[in-house]
Amino acid sequence: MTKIAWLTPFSRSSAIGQYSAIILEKLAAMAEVTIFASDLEDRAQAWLPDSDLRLLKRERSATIEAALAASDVAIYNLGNYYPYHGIIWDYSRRFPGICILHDLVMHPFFIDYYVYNQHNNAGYLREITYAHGEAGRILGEKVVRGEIDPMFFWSSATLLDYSMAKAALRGAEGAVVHSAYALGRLTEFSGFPVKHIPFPTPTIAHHPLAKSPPPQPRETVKLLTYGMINPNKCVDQVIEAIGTSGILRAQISYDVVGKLEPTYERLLRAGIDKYNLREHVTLHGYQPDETLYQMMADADVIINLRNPHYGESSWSLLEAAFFGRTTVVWKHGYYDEFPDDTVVKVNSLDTLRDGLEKLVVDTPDRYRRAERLRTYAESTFVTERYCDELLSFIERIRRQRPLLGLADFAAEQLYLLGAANDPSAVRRVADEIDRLRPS
Amino acid sequence: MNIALVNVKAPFVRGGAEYLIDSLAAKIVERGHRIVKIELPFNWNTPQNVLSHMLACRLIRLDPETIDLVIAIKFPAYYVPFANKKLWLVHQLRQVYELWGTNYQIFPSTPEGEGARAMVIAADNLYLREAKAIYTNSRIVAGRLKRFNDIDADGVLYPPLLNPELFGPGEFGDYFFYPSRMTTIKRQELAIEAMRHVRSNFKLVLAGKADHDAYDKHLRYKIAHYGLEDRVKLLGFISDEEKARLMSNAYAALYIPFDEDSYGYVTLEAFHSHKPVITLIDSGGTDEVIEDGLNGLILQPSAEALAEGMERLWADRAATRAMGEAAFETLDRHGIRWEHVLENLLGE
Repeated sequence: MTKIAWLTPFSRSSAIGQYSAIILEKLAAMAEVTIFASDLEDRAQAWLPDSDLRLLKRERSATIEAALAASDVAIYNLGNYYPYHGIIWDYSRRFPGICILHDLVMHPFFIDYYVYNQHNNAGYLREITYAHGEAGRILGEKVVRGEIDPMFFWSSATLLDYSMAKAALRGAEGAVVHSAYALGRLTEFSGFPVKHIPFPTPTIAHHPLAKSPPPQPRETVKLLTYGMINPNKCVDQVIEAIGTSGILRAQISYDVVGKLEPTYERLLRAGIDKYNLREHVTLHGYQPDETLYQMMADADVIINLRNPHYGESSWSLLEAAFFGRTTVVWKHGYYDEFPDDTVVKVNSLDTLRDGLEKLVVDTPDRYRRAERLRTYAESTFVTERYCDELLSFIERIRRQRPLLGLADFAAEQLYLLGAANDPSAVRRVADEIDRLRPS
Repeated sequence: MNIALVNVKAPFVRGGAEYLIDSLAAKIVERGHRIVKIELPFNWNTPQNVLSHMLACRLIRLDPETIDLVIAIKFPAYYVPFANKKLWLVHQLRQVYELWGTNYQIFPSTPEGEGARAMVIAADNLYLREAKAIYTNSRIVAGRLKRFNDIDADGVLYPPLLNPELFGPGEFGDYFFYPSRMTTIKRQELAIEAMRHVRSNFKLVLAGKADHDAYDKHLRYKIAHYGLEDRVKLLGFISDEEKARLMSNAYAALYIPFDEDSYGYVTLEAFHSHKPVITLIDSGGTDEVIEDGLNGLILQPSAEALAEGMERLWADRAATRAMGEAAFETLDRHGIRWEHVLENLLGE
């Protein structure tokens, strides 16, 4: 069986850890997997504490390196959160493998990695220049001079324009992403294979409440938004849509669940007051999972808006889909990859208002969409298939290693000969190597 | 003409291909042409080495102003680019073709090994087609070329001996003779195993240089272990003259490689010496000239069958002598002549 080293955050507070656990429970029967957790000091805190689990923080790097060298392939889960992914990225550069890219942006990661933790502005500038050339360097210099607050990126579409995925994946043997959108973005620069594999089945799909049918028609149509509540979630626009629609005011209630960003909460409460919606809109703040699941089961419509999007693949959309509740999304990025007849897609306040009104008025259509969304999710997001496709991709990556090894060898020889900057010599060698590539 | 013979070789290893190149060079010179032998070192210990040598061959540039014709015979020497290039194909990298999945496979059965194998096959498919003509040294090599690469050979040119006059009929001594490079694929060990089952008093004489000392030691250990020191002689390297003398006076010859590309020089040397040859059904190209019961025996690949075959020949001296005469006549019947080879390779 294939020996896989799987590097991931794996604490029970990590969503990527949960994703890994879902995959690895199945993959363990198909491959010889060792998990290397990046965020744990104590294995009892892990998603799968009884698995073949090693703790990156508790072992010497030499033993980790030996284990990686002995594996057939290393799988690196990369994301924006430096404390979880910094050490994973370090190993990914020393032992190239397959990177599963959970965040397309990666800019906060590099700022944390270089600027805040290493106080190495030059390193950050080098990476952003590698990723975006001269324009990147200029932007990076503004950041390090303090002319741009790095956190500005978090709320700006510019964040996606300056994705650092190219830097994050430098030297990778291959990459896995979870959306066609991310695949397209990576294909723009990647010299390595990139595979889009739809998410596995989320754990919530097996929850008894997820099996419950949508609520029977009733006087009030219940809308629900959940997650971290910040401007990106467009809750203010939903409130405005309700406030400016007689149909919606008359027939809906809107629950907002999740930790609220303070500034944004003030904005939302002002909107609620402005449109006199205290009877219709409730900001619940954080709620325990079971409470949230109960509210999801009781909801008629889940509003899962992101604008702008940051190239993410939405786990919460997946959860809504497996709950079989009609879902409203912004028409772009990953969200636009769901078929048009499964979700309601909007792209402005007006289309949001129209879409919600139609869902409220046309009850049969609301039920049809809910059913189609659940069916689509159950046939698309299948853990076993995810594992099959991943193993198939691993084999593809391993098969190309001899060719890459040859290219590395030839490049080294050209460098040693002083011919690395001779375009004709490099071209001739590159052409010959390219011809050796099996079709 | 100025002719470049391009070959690869493992340093300090000499086998049939090297003999073939030397013979061809000598015969071309006899015809009045100029020859340059270009020998590139080749090391197939790892897939990366194989691929590096392939690339190295592709990066060689021979000057058409000074060379009129390139003749290549082995992988990956035939990758060297040249407009007027002909192949007398003796070897592809067999380990990625018919030897894949056998004990002789050299790349690991991993995706990495399979990837390297795919690269070799893809490169063969691409670069073999550059040649102006491809002749093979046997029908079996031509068959593989067709089967694995879908390329039709332009013909089979059976390699003659360089100095056939060295070999001639002699006495029918009390030994079977197996001169060949000592390596596992030649299966000298099987011949030793067969001698354990022999009841008659004939002997086995093995000669040839071992590719690796370990194999030589292994064979000597086997001989001692079975108590066959008086009946099996392991001579190591011997001169051509000594080989001819031993062949002339042998009772019969053995040539029992596994899936050999061609009938092998041993077979020709035996036939020139009027000796029948024992081979095995899985020995490859030997059955192109050895006919069971006419000029030799073709046996099942087991020690018992080999012992029984040797006993059978030993028991009927007259029939063995007749088979030896038939063996000599086989040479003419197949037109194994240098004139025929040169006419095709040189186009004259």
